[in-house]
Order: sequence, then C-alpha cells, then structure tokens
Amino acid sequence: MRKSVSHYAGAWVYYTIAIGLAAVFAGPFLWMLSSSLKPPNEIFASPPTLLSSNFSFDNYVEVFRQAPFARYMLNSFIVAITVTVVALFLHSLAGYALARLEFPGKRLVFILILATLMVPFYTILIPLAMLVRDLGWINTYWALIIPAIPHAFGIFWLRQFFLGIPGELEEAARIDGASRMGVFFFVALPLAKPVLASLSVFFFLANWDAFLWPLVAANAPEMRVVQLGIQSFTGEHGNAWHLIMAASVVSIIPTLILFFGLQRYIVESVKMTGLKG
Amino acid sequence: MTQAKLSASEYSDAERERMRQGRKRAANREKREQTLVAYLFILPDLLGLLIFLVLPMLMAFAISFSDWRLTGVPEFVGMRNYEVIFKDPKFGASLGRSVLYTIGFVPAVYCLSLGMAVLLTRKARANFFFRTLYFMPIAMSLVVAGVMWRFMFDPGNGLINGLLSGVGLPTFQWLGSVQSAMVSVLIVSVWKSAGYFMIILLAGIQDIPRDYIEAAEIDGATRLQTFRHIILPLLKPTSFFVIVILTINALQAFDQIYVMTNGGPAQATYTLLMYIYEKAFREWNFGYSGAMSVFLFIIILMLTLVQVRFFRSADEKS
Amino acid sequence: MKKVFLLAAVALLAMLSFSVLQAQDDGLDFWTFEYDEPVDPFFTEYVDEWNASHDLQVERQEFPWAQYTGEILTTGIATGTAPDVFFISPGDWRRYAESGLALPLEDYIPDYLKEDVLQASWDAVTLDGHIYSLPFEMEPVVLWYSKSALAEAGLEVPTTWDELQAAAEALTTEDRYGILIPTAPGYYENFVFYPFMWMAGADVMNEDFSASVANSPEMAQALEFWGGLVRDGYAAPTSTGNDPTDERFPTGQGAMFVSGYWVYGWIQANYPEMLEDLGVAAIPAPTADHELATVYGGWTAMVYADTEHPAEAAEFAINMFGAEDNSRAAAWGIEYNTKLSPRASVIEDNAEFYSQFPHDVFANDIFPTAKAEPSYPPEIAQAVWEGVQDVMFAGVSGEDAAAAMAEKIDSYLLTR
Repeated sequence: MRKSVSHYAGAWVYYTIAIGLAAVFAGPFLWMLSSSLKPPNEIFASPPTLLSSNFSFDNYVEVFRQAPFARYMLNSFIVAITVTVVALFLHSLAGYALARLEFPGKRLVFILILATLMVPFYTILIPLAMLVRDLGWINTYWALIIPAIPHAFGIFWLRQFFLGIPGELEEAARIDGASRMGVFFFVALPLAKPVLASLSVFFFLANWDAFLWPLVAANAPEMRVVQLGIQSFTGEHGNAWHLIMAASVVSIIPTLILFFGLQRYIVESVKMTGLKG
Repeated sequence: MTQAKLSASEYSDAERERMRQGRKRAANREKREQTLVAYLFILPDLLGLLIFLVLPMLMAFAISFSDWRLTGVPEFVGMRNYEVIFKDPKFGASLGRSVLYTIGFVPAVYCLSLGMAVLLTRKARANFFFRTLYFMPIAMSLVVAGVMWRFMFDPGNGLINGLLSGVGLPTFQWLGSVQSAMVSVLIVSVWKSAGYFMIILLAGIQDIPRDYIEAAEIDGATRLQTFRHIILPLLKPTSFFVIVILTINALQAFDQIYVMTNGGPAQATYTLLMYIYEKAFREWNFGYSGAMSVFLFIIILMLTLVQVRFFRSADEKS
Repeated sequence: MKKVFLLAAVALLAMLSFSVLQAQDDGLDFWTFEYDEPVDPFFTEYVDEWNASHDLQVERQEFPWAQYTGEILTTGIATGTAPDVFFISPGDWRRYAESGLALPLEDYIPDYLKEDVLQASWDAVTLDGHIYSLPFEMEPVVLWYSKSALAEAGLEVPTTWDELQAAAEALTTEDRYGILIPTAPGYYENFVFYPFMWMAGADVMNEDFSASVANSPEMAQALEFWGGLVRDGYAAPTSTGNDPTDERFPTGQGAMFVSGYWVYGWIQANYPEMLEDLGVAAIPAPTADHELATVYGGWTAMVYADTEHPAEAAEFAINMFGAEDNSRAAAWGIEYNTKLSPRASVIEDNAEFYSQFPHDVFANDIFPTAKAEPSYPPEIAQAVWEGVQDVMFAGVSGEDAAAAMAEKIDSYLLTR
C-alpha cells in the first residue's frame, strides 16, 4: 500500500520537532560530559570547545581518589532501592483503598495526605531532625530510609490511576469469590504497571538525588550519599567544577540505566480490548 | 433455608421483613469488612505520614504562635506573627513573585510535557531514544544545571545570546537584569521539569484503550480531532494530578532559583520560600517563618480545592 | 488556642531536653566547612596528634560550604548536637556572641598569643570585653588585573576612582568585561563593597551601634560608583562559576577583578598559564587625597558555650593556630592556602616567602591598610546588599539607595 503524502509530511514534522527538542533537552548534558573530560582551565573558556585537546579521564580518577565515591554510591543504592520497593508496595495499597474502598473518614484522610505536600521541607527540617535524633537514627540507614517512604505523591498518583480504570475485572473477580486482598494483588496491581514503573524511576531518582536531609541526618563519612559526595567538591571560595562535572556524570548513569530498563513498562500499551464504557 | 418462591407476591409480609433484615445485616457486614480492609491497606503509609510529616508540621504550627530565636525557651505571642505578616511589604512582594512564577511555570510545563507525550505516541522506533533524551535534565543535579545555564545565559559570550544574534534576533541580559531574571529562571525550571511530567502523561495516555483511537481514525478523524475529543478528555484524571502537583511545587519554588540567583538581581527572583528559609535559618526568627509557612499552606490548600472543584464541574459538563 | 499551643510547646521542649540529655558519646566534635582535598592533611594531622596525646578524643566533620552556617549549625544547635569547636564567619560571629552561644576565651589565651596577634584582629572578635573566638587567617581584598590587557589598552594601573572607571570602560570590549565585582546578593557582596564604602568616608553604623549612618553623601558616592559599573555595562551582571572565583578573569573574559588573596592560589592551581600575566594592586581610593583602605575577612574558631569540656575545647582551638611554635599557623597561609596570618611573628619568620610576588605586595602594601570585616546581624547586612543591588540593577540612584538603607536599619534597630 502506498504511503500517503501526509504520512511523509507527518514524519517530517515529527522528526524536526523531536530532534529540536532533543537538542534543547540533552544539549546541555553534552556540555557537562565534555567538561568532565577537560582540565579545569578549559571548562569556562571562550569560545567553548566540545572536545578538549587535553582530553583525559583524569577527573574521573580524581573523583574516586579524593573521596570514597564508590561507597557513597553504594549508600545511595541501598537507600534508593529499599525506599522504592517498600514505598511502591505501600502506596499501591493506600491508593487502591482510597480509590476503591469505602470507609468512614475517607475524604478527610485523602485531604490530609494531600496536605502533607503543601508544607515546605525547610519548615519541618528542625522538628524532623529532633525526632530522628530522639529515635537514635542519626548516621544510620534508618534515618535515610524510613522518613522517605511515606510520600503523598505516590499515593495520589496511584489513586488517580485506580480511579481511572474500569472496575469490571475486579467485580468479576469478587463475584468469583476472591478476597479484597486477592483482587488487589492479582487483578488491580498488574494493571498498574505503567504507573508503578514510572514511580520506580521517580522514587529512585528522588532518593538518589536527595541532598539536604542526608546532609543533616547522615553526614558521617561512611554514611554519605552521592549528592553529598558531589557537594564535597565545593569549596570556600569556589568549586572544583571539573570534579563536580565528572562526579555528576557518574551519578547520572544509574538513573539512566533504570529508565532504559523500565521504559517499555512505562509505555506498554495496555490492551483493554473488550472493555468498552 | 426457605425455598425461593416463584414470584415476589408469594412472600408473606413477615418473610419479606426477614429478608430485608438479612440484606441489611449482610450490607453492614460488608461495610465493616470493607472498612477494616481499607484501614489495613492505608495504615502503614498513614502512620508514616503522621509521624514523619504531620507531627513536625504540627510542631512548626505551634512555633508560629511563639517567638523563638533558637536559643532559650519559645515565648507565646498568640497571633502577633500573623498580624505582622499582614503589614509586611516583603511578604506580599515575595508571595507575588511566587505567584508570578507559578503562572508562568504550570501552563508552560503542562503544555510542553503534553506535547512531548503526544509527539512520542507516534509509532516510531526512535521514540525510545527521544524519551531518554527528554528525561535527562531531571537526572541532573541542581548545582550543575545552575552553573551550566548561567554559563549559557552569559550576556556577553553565552551560547543563548550567541545563537540569537547568529540568526539576527535581539539578545537579552537574562539573569543579569531585573526584567528578564524571572523568565530566565523559569526557562531553566521548565527545562528541568518537563521530562518528568511527560512521563506521567505518557503513562496516562497508555491507559486510553487503543480501540477508541483506532475507531476515531477509521471514522476519518484527523490527529488533531482525535487528540481534542478522545485523548484529552480521557486524560483528565492524569491531567488533574499533573496540574495539582505542578501548582503545589511551583508555589514552593526555591532550590533551583537559589542556586542560580540567590534571589537577585535586586530581589527579582526572591520567592516566598526564600523569605521563609532566610527568616528561619539566617535570622533565626522561627516563629515568623513558621507563620509564613502556615499562610502559604492555606493558600496552596485553597488553590488545590478550587482545582478539585474545577475538574469536577468540567467532568459534569462533558 | 493557648492550650493547644502549650501542649505542642511542651512536646517540643520534651523532645529538646530529651535530645540534650541523651548520653553524648564523650569526645570533642570539631566542625568546619569543606576544604579542598589538599588542605585536609592540615586538619587530619593536627587531630591525629591531639588524639594521640589526649584522653578526650576529637572527631572532625566537614559540611558543604553553602549549607554550613545556615542549615547545619542552626539545626545542630536546635537539636542539641552542636559541635564543641567550630569555625564561624565574620558575618555570623556577632549573633553567636550576643546569643550566648560562644564561650569567652580570654582566660584561656596565653599571653604570647595576645601579643603576637594584631590588636585589630582581637578587637574584631571582642564584645563587652570578652574574646569570643580565635582569629587565624586574613584574606584582604585587592584589585587583580591582567597585565597584558592593560598594556594593550595603553593604561596604567588605576589609582583613583576616575582612573578605575575609565579603565573599566576602555577595557570593555565585545567579548570581555572591563572589571568584575560580586553581583549576587549576600554577605560576600557586602564584604567586597566595604573598602569602597570606607575609602569614600562612609560607614553603616555609628560608634556605639545605636543608629545607622548610612544616609550620607559619601555612601551615595560609593554606591553610585560601584553600582554604576554594573549598570553601565563595564562590569559583568552575573559571575561565571562563583563570585569569589569568577572564571571569566583567568579565561580572558574579564580584565580586572576585585577579589581576595585566595585568587592567587586558585589561579596557581587551575590556570597556571595565567600566572605570569597576573598583576595585583590595592583598590584605588576615590582621589589621591583619600587614604587607602581595604577589608580582610577570615573565619575564626569558636568554642560552644555549652560544651561539656570547656578547658579541653579551648586548648584544642587555641593550639590549632596559636601554639608557641608558629609553624603550623604559618603553614596554613603558606603551604595549604593563600592567606595572611594575624600573627605578626608569622610574617617575620617567613621573610623569604613574603618577599616573593605577590606575597610581598600583600605583606608590605595591603596588610597595613586592611580593616577587619565588620560583623553585622543579618538584618543589617541585608539592608546593605539590598542597597547595592538596587543601584546595580533596579535603576535606583546612590542617594535614594543610601537613604533606604539607613531607614531599613533604623527600623530594625527599633525592634532590638
């Protein structure tokens, strides 16, 4: 079948816009990458160069030499993965309950949960620090993991998702005698794959990028996380930009890998044929 | 068990009453079971939120009725902090800037991320590649993004002005002038956030059953019509989510801006969050800072409720 | 309402006292902000030496500079985890002293140290007759410049404000700014502004700190001159990198740079090829009839008032830079950083080092004219930089900005 002119015109429009956007969004990343391979005196030179004549991986070596950066990454991994897995499970439960189950105080609980998003972190920083200190969690993984798990964002999004899917499948399962827990686990949850995959990326990212709370709660050298490691290259009068760039490139990689891996779940076409209306 | 009779009129009044009671009891049992299961589902998260978020929030709320300067005991002053806020020109100005920022940020990110999500629904292998590229800014740290954009925004030798003048367009001072600083900061924030919300909208679009879209195409609808009449309405729950989150975030904008401009030049980018932060951690006036947070909280809450109502009435219209 | 508040306040206090009562692991906590990696051995060696010869062990922690005085120290004090010994900035010094957070040290400081350190340095850390922290470094602000840029434009090193203005104008080209000064609002901007303010004959506060004297024609002149540089386009409106180390200067995008002594060490480490082009001079005075003056900053070492081990903490702090053998104090400014020591003996004992360029300029010419950075409470400091920002960016005249500055400060003073 011959493809129509409009098809080719559409392709042309698609590629132009897509590539233009790609330049805008990923272009600066190129500068960051190229800076990480330059000696410090070339990063801000004018006119800027893409590939330095003094191309070298020295900065990367230096990053791992000056700070126990691998340890920092390990800490971040432990925290990010634990929080993501636990949070995903708990938020799905809560979101499902808010979407599908009736119970007294439901409205109030939902608003309360939303309200926790509306207070800036700086306002609760000191009370939270006091609390965590009283629990004896300073400089432990607990301080980094536990307070990070409850988060209205995930609950809210999963609630919206569960509200948006038709309930026939679940009703059918209930009629067949499945328990509510069973319906949740075997019917509703599998349908939430795109949202769960996206949330995985987001939660991992949020915890991988966490800076202020880990700084206050776990700054001991062996407990530090990646962002603290990057900030350790900032100084009194100026920053070691070449090291910050290299450390940042290293820091981006795990999140990108996760995104690569989960992308197809995020955009998996949910085949819901036969469920009209 | 009584044997089911053939027609309703064959039941006696007493039997009908018994059946009604039976149904009611079953309904109550069902309700209790549902409540129990619901609380079970919600409890871990709710408990966590109560301990680690709500409790500190309440403490900050209590402090807002006091004068506490880090050392010594908090002194109860009632509503004094709140009264001072009303008369404080700096509060109004900072709030105004936060609102301005929000007005710029929310529509820009929503439209851009929606556009990108729709663009990438076209069947093309390259989507995988493009999606990752649009995602990249999210993974970049604030400090690096900040220094990079400052470099690009350099009025003299920066890339942006270089490109503009290269195609004959006028150049700007970007972060170096009061008029353009807010716009510059918005550009960076939008750049950094669009990919994030693109993913959310993408996940939302995936929920729309393909049959609907295919049916529209068979009926001869253009892409634009399909978008307006099928995709957009069915995307409503996700859109609602995105816009509420965007608004809440925008009114609390602080980190990225602070790293880039410190609130300058001449306070052009000095948002309410900056004022709250500096009052607490620089001037040690925790009562006043707390009161401002409460104020902000109320504003955000009201705005969110308005958005809830708007989306619900829009639902009813369609 | 009051009941709810009381309940919550009791809960807050309970938490507070509980944290304080919790058994602190017995030792001294020593906090600083992050120093560059080559500087770390200075601290680790001293701490190791101390730990080897004392029962009470010291634990050192570093924090990123930007969060150190804000979030970190504040939260530490609030949660009862404040350090025993810590570095404090001139900007915060007064507030800590006035709030009773600093331990008076005059009884612990040995006589030889009292005589060795400049009297002006002691004055800068003294309040009501008590010495509240220990000065150990001085970083004067000067005019750095590119010798070749000046030579190309046929200019002599400026010695008056008119000459400086003219030079900034002449040196501004399409891809280069004539001069670089701090443009981000904050304590650092004030710091670099003070020399201009003082040399014009203006000041922020009067002698007994009871009223502001900022509303003066001299202040207007200083603001007008400084702000005018940015407003008229001879100074960059933003920095590249950070204000104290604006990367434009060593990459040829800025011809002159008003910044501190550290610039030398920074260029030496990162832009060694620029060293031979580097020139340094005192910041010009308004006219030949005015006296030269510059500011020096420098952090000081403070001991927490509520420390459990005041004597040991004081000893630890004092011996870091104030031991009778001044080699450690000298090494701080010579080997590890580029800073001056407030101890006169350091310059005497290291004459050879201080006869080399640019250290000779600093030791001989700059040092005598340097005044300590004043320590103003944040409300006053903010009024100053808002005035500067207004002239630079908001089109406000120097006169109006000076008046507004004085007004803000005076209304703040009413609340004290």
